[in-house]
Parts: sequence; C-alpha cells; structure tokens
Amino acid sequence: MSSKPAPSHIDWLILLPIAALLLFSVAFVYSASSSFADVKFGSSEQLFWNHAVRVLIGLGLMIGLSKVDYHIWDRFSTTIVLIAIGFLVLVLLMGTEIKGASRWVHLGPINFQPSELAKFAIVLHVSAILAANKVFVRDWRKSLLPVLGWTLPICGLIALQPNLSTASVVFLIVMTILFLADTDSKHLGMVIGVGAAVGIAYAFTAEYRVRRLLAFFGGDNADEAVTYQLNQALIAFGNGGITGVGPGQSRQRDWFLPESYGDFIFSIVGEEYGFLGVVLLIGAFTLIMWRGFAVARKAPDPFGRLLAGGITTTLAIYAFVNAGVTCGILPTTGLPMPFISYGGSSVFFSAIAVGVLLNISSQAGVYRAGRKLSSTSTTD
Amino acid sequence: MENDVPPQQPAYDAIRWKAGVLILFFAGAFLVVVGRLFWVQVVEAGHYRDLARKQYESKVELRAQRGKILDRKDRDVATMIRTTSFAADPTLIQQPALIAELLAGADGKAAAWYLDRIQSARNRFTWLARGISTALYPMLDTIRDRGLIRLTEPKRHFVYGPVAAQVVGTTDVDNNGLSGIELGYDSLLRGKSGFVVMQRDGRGRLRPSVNPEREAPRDGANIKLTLDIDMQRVAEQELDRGIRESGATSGTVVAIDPATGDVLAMASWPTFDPNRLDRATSDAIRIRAITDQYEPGSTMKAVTAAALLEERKIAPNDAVDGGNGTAVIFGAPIRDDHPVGQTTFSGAMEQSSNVVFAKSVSALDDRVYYKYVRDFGFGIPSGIDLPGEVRGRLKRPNEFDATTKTYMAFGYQLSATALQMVNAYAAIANGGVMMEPRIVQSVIAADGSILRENKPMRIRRVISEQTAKLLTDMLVGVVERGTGSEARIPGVRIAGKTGTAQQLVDGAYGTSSYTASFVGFYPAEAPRVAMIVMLDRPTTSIYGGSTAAPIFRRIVQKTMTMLALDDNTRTRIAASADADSVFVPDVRGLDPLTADTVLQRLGLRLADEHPVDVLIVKQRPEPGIRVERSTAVTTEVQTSRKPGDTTTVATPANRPNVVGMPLRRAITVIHASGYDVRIQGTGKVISQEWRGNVCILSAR
Repeated sequence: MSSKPAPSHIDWLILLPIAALLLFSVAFVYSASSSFADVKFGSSEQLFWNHAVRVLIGLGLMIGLSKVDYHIWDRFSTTIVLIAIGFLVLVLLMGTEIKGASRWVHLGPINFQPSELAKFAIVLHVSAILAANKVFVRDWRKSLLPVLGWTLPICGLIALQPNLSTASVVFLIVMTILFLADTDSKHLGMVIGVGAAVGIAYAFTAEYRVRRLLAFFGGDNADEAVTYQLNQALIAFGNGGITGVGPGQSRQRDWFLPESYGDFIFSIVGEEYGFLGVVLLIGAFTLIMWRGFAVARKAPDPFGRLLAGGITTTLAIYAFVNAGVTCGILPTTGLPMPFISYGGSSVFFSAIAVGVLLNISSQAGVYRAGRKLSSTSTTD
Repeated sequence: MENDVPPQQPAYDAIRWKAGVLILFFAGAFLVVVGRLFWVQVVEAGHYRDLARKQYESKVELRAQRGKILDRKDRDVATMIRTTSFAADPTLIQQPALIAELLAGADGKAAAWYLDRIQSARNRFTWLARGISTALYPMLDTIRDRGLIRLTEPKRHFVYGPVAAQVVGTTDVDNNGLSGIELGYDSLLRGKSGFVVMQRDGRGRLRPSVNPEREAPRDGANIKLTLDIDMQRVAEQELDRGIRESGATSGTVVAIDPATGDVLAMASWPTFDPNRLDRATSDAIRIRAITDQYEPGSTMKAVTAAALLEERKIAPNDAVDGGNGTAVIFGAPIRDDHPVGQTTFSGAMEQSSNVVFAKSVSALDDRVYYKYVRDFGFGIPSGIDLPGEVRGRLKRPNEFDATTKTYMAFGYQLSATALQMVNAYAAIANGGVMMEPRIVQSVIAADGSILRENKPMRIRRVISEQTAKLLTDMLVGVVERGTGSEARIPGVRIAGKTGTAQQLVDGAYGTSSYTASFVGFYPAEAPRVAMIVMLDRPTTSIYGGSTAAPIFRRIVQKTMTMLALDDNTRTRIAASADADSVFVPDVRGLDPLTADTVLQRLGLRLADEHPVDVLIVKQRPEPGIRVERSTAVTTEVQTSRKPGDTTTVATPANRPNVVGMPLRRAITVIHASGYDVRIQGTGKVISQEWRGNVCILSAR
C-alpha cells in the first residue's frame, strides 16, 4: 500500500516444505483411507481422489494469493470476520450433527467447517485492530477491549458447537498475537488466567470432555473409545519403529485406528515411515515455523508483522497439538494436522493463510532480492 | 503525548525478540514431541510390536477329520461328510420366501416355519437349518442373498443307518462320541486339531497371510471292527421280524466266531437311526447284549452238563429219572414243561428236564460247581471293548443257600448278559477253550499304518476237548429231537439249547413275564458261529423253542453264504432256505388281519375271508405241522364278545379246543368265544373241561 520495501520474492523455505507436505499428504491419505473408503464407498480410492483435488486447488489458492498484496486483507478484515460469525451462528441453527457436535455447514455442494474460516478471520481482524491502534496498544481500552470484543463471541460460538479444543486454540492464538503486539503483560496475564479458568470450568460441563481428560490422565472412568484410539495410535508408532513398515503397508488403517486418515493420520505416517519419517515431518513444520516468525520479524509494517506471526502461530499450534495428541502427550482433541489430514476446510484455509504469509514474506525482504536484483525491480 | 502520534513510534520492534521467544518455545515443543516419539518408536518399539502382532494375528483352528469306523471287510460304517448349516441375518435378507421354500425341501420343516423364524428373528445370527448335505440339495447353493449365512461343517454320517447303531454308537453335533465305539474310541477317532495363523483387521475379518505359521491337524485313526455288516443287517432284520411275531418288548442277537472271539453281529431291538439322533429314545441306544442281565433259564443246563461230564459224575447215556415232571429237591418244588419219566441224561437235555438237572447237580460240590460256572465267564465282565458292560450276578459258594445250586443248575439265582451266555457256548464250540470276545480288530492311523492290532486272546481252557465233544453231541440232539427243533435245518448239524425263564417281577416269579432264548453254534463238527437270540417278554408264545429258535434258524439260513463254510454245508443250508416246506404257525387267538400277515411272511395264506372284529379260534392244518409253501390255512372265527353275554347260546359246536396252547392265549381264545374261564396251574393247557358256559383249563 504505502511505503513498499525493496521488492523481493517469496520465501521458498516456506513454500517448498508446505508444497512437499501437501503432495505427500496425498500419499498419506490414500494409504490411510483405503480400507475405510473401500468398505464405505466401495472404492479404496474415493477419499484419495477427493483429497488430491483439494490439494491441487489448495496449491493453486496458495500460489495465487501469494501474488495478492496482503494489505488488501486489512480493508476486508471486518467483513470477513462478520461473515465468519454469520456462519458460526448458522451452523448452530442448522448444522449437520456428526458425533454429537454441529461443526459442518452445507452450501449447496460445498460443506465446510465455519470454525476453520473463523480461525483465519480472527487472526486477520485482530492483527488489523492492533496494527491500527499500534500507538495505544498499551491502553487496554483501545487494544485489549476491542480484540476481546471480537474474540470472545467467536470462541463462545465455537465452544457451543461444542468444540472446546478449537475454541481454546483460537483463544491461545489471539493471546499469542497480543503477546507479539506488546500488550501490557499484566493485562495479558489476567486475560489468559481468566480465559484458562473459564475454559477449565467449561471443560467439566460435558461428560465426554471429562472422560477424555480422564483417559489422558489415566482415570478409572476413562472413555474407552478414546483410550482405545490412543492405544491404537501408539501401536502404529511403535510398530513402525525406526524405519517404518513401508509406504502403503499400514495395518492400523485396517479398522484398528479410528480416524486414521483424519486427526490421527500422523500415527499412520509414523507407522509407514517410522521415526525417521516423523522426524522429517516435524522438521518440516519446524522449518516453516522458524521461517514464518522470521517473516513476522521483518515484515514492513505492524499489520504484516502481526498477521505473519498469527498465521505462523496458528500452523505451529495446530501441528504441535495434533502431534502431541496422537503420541499421547496431550489430551485427545479433534484438531487436524495442517496440510496432512484429510479434510477440505482445513486444506483450503491453511492454504489461504500460507498464501497470505508468502505474500508478506515477499515484502519482508527475507530474501532481499539481492543487490543484483534491486536495480532491475524498480518498476513495481 | 496525549493526542498525537509519538515521534519515535515503536512499530512493534519488540516483535523481534518476542518472535524469537516463540521460535524457541515451538522448537522446544516439537522437540518434546520428537522425544516422545523416540521413546515410543525406538525405545519401546518391541512392546508395541508385540501388541500389534497380538491384534493382527488370529490363530484359527484346523479341525482334524474324525476317523472312520469300518467293518471286518473294510466297508465304511461311519464316515465324515461335508454339510452346510444355514443361518439368517434378518437385517440383510432379501428373499425370505425363496429361502424358506428351498430349505423346506431339504430340511423337512414347513416353509412357513422358516419364514416365521426369519421374520421374527431379533438376532443377527439366527440358525435356520443345520447339517444339510448340499451335495443332495444343490439348489441351496444357488441362493444369492447377503442375509443367508452359510457355514460348512463336517458331520458324522452313518452309512448303514440303523444297522449296528448301538455298537457303532453316536456322536453329538460337534462330533464328540456319545455312545458305543464312538465313545469308547473317541480319543483315537478324534485326532488332534492343528492351527494356522491368519491376519485379521480391526473388524475381525480374517485373511490368509503370506507365509503363515501353521501346524497341520492330525486326522483321527480308523477303527476296524470285527462286525460283518451284512450279517449284522440280517440279524437285525430277523430279530425285528421275530419280535413282531412274538410280541416281545425287546431283544438281542449276538453272533461270535468261537475260534477267535470276533463279534460278527450284535443286534439290539428297539433300535434307531444314528443319523437322526433326535428321534432316538434312550431305550434304543443301549447295547442290550452287554448292558442287560437276565436269568438265563434252561440255556444254563449246558454249563451244568459240562461240569457234570468233566467231573465224570454222569455220562450222556446214563439213565436218569425225570419224575414225570415234578420233584421236590431240598424242599424246592421243581416242575417241567415237558415232563419226562425214565430217560438218559441226553434225553433229559433234549426235553430240558429241570428235575433231572436239579437232581444231578447235587453230585457236585458247591465250590466245584461254582468254579465251572465262573470259568465259563459268568459273574465276570467278558472284557469286550465296549463301554457299559455289566458283569452279571453270580453268588459265591459261601453265599449259597440250600436251594441255590439246585436252581442254578437250570438257570435261576444267577444273571448273565447275552454276550456272557453266547461266549460260554462258544467255549464249548471251540473245544473247551474260551476266547475273549473282541469287537475291534485293529486301529489304523490316517496314513494307513496300523496303530494297534487286537489279536485273538485265549482266556482259559474250561473243559476238555473230550467233554466239549460229548456236550456238542447232546446239544445237537436238542435241535434234532428236542425242544430246539424249530432251529433245525435239514442236513446241517446245529448244536443249541432253548431257554424259557420266568422273570422276577416285584420279587416273585410270575407267569406273565418270560425271557425266551435260543443259543447254539454251527456247524457242529467244525463250528464257525456261536449265536444267541434273546427275547424279552414274548406274548404269542413264551417258549424259546418257538420264538427264539426260528429267528436263529432264519439268520443261519440267510447268512450262510457269508461264512467260510465248506461247500457241502453251504449247499445244504441253501437248500433248506429254499425248501418248499414250512412249519404252520399258530394263528389261533389272532385277528384275521394279523394272522394273514404272519402266514404270508411264511409263504402261506389264509383260506377264508373274515370280518375284522373277530378272533381265530380254530385252524387247519394244526400248528407245527410242516406243509408246502402257498398252502391255504382254513380257520374258524368267533366274534369277540364279553364273557357272560347271553344273547347267543353257547353250543358244543363252537366251543374252541385250546389244549396245547399257552395259557394266556387259550384264555384269550375262550373269552373271544364268549365263555368264562377258570384256570388251574400255569404254562401250557393240558386239558379242558366244560361246565355250562365256563371252561376249566388245567395247565402245566
């Protein structure tokens, strides 16, 4: 928009690992879903083709959006967040119930999870608010209050689905953005404390959440299905060992591990590609995370910095929580692994977010287009 | 400061170090995940591999094939067949009507029954029909319905149905032996099951693995019996016929080879089809020849004679006094059905004189007599390889009272099984040497090697060959000239003895329940078969000579070609079987329909037509006379009516003659003729006297 830094190209160290993850995810999903799809749809390739198409669209969106100046999002952030809130209300009124929770909305042929849209929208909008009020960021009435004014209703709507884990993660992401934005640490601490208390209190209002937590902490009334799923995930990792049982050789997908192609796909990767495979995958996320925050450091303006930080935080938290859940160091939640899990909403909104991040990177001069290039690229 | 943008705007420079904090935080978090994965995938991998293997692998039992049961000529008697069992999953079934219709055709229940069962089923696995041979009903294989569950199961098949059912035995639905050889040799027949490791998925579906761990099942061994299934079948047919003709409640036939102890036939009646075990009564499953003991009666006289002859207390031609059928010995009144006066010891055997045997046995010391009875196998299990054998009852000398030996001499105060009795006669046939009866010849492993061979086993010499020879001649005389004449086959020397024993009913010997038997061996000069026929409570005649002996004869006639006899003997037996002459049966006291059936079976016929509700009171020719086949028997009948009915005046013309009839039948005939009866004595009617409408019968 305004003071444009010297033009540079996108951060390839973000694009390449993500493109690789997306492409590999096609193979992962194919293997992990084949048994389920074979029985459910009569074709072991059904979910594979769905996913492959979505990955291609996602890659297209990502590359396309990397060319769109990220400042455009500043202008539309309020609209987007209002649309997201609209869908969240809609899903509560007329959503499709799956496993006791309404998380899906149907728009003609397209079904999607409004919480995924909301997650992106709030990161966008909070960054916009804080960037606009950068001078008054330490004044809680001008920063904290409007931010919470948008965040709390969204988290509340998501929690009502009920989807406490996504609501908590969204809250955490916003808190991280506030942290990056230099909010008064006393205020921030208070908000986080109150939020945690509310979250914990809410956790105990539903039996299934308590049983999931008990399952994690080894209680007697543990949810057997959750304990079973976690045990099966661990068996997948353990049976994979160091080098894995080989691509396409998973046995856990044969109806042992529920959600093997969705939230628990990480353990199928661990089974087929072993410890070496999951270390590479975690390595890819670490690389993305590091480069993402690097972009946040060097972005040309506060909006870019906060937005890059928020997007990177989102990806990192999702990757960490999902991996932590599948290997049993975090209580079971229903969060997908970005770029890897089967699921259109997750793929699309992650791709959109990364597209935005890539555009910021191209303006951050992370790869300053070199001294050689600077003379040739003045025409922008 | 309060309204305008400050000159040095922070521009979130703090983000530089804060982003660094986050990088470190997330890097740390990822490191924790990697550490945890290192623990699970590297350190603890073995533990999880074991868990994985445990849930992937499923040991599937490979059932061993149950061994076969064969007869002495290696014919399959009990084998395994593949059958299919059908169950319904009511949630998936699409063509219930078709399935019901086809199952009804194969399994035998009405189609509506299956339809109702399918439609009222709550369970997703509901049995419809079990153990159906789809080889017989290939239509069942054509049903394409996801809701019809098929399970192939091996099932025991008894090739000859009811033939030898009791001896061969039965199995339950899971092919475990329940009775007979199936039970006694269950562990050998069963074999040992193996297993194969299959791969399973989370839903429990199995699929074979590439190089599965496997242990092959070891099929069960085959059991070869000494039974000759042809002879067994004839014995059963003739026993069945004899029981129907005699009105007995049950019976048994045992035939053994005296030289080896091989059981050639062992028939029991009532019987059953082991393929339809659900229809069998427990009464029919018993092997009566070894599980039922009875007081043998006169057949015991051969054993008494053996002891007397061996101890040289008497010789066959010694003169004895039959006391005209009555005597009191040690205070015990003895009576004979066939009274004799002065005769020889052989003659007393031929006429089965209780008096003579009761008198003669007193020459033997209690212990000596006991030793012989015991040596002949009484009171001891025969040792046959069948479950359920009883030992019978034999008093020891110190348990004898004054009359014990006297009564034992003609077959009371002890009890024996049919097998024990026939084995005693087999010892006589075998020149005095008793063999252990055997039913299993050999046990053959599935690969054909012989696991066990039961060699003929000599138990002991009981009497000398000389005594056996003398005794055989006496027993031949019984058939040639005496009470066993119904067993006679012209040209073949058959040695045998009849037995008619009163049964103890409620602690007293009554006149209504008898055990009729005939036991003997043939050909007398070189015996090949010793056989007993035993009938429990015959009603048309109580005598072993008239009920059991004909069964014996017919079995001999029909099985002679199966035996390794010399050609001459075989020809003579064959000639007798085809002979044109038969003995006229006693049809008095029967209704015309029954009488006609009896006569037709012998090749005779009823000359007159009678209404149904009458009884035959007179017949010509007289019973027991040999006539040509197809002779018509003329009869006179009386309308059955109550005694004392005065609507018809009894005239001497329609007074039936019942002399010579068994008492019970005589009473029936006289009642049928409308007269009252007074009786004196028991047994056969020896005279009758009329006083108005009352007939006074004297019987002995």
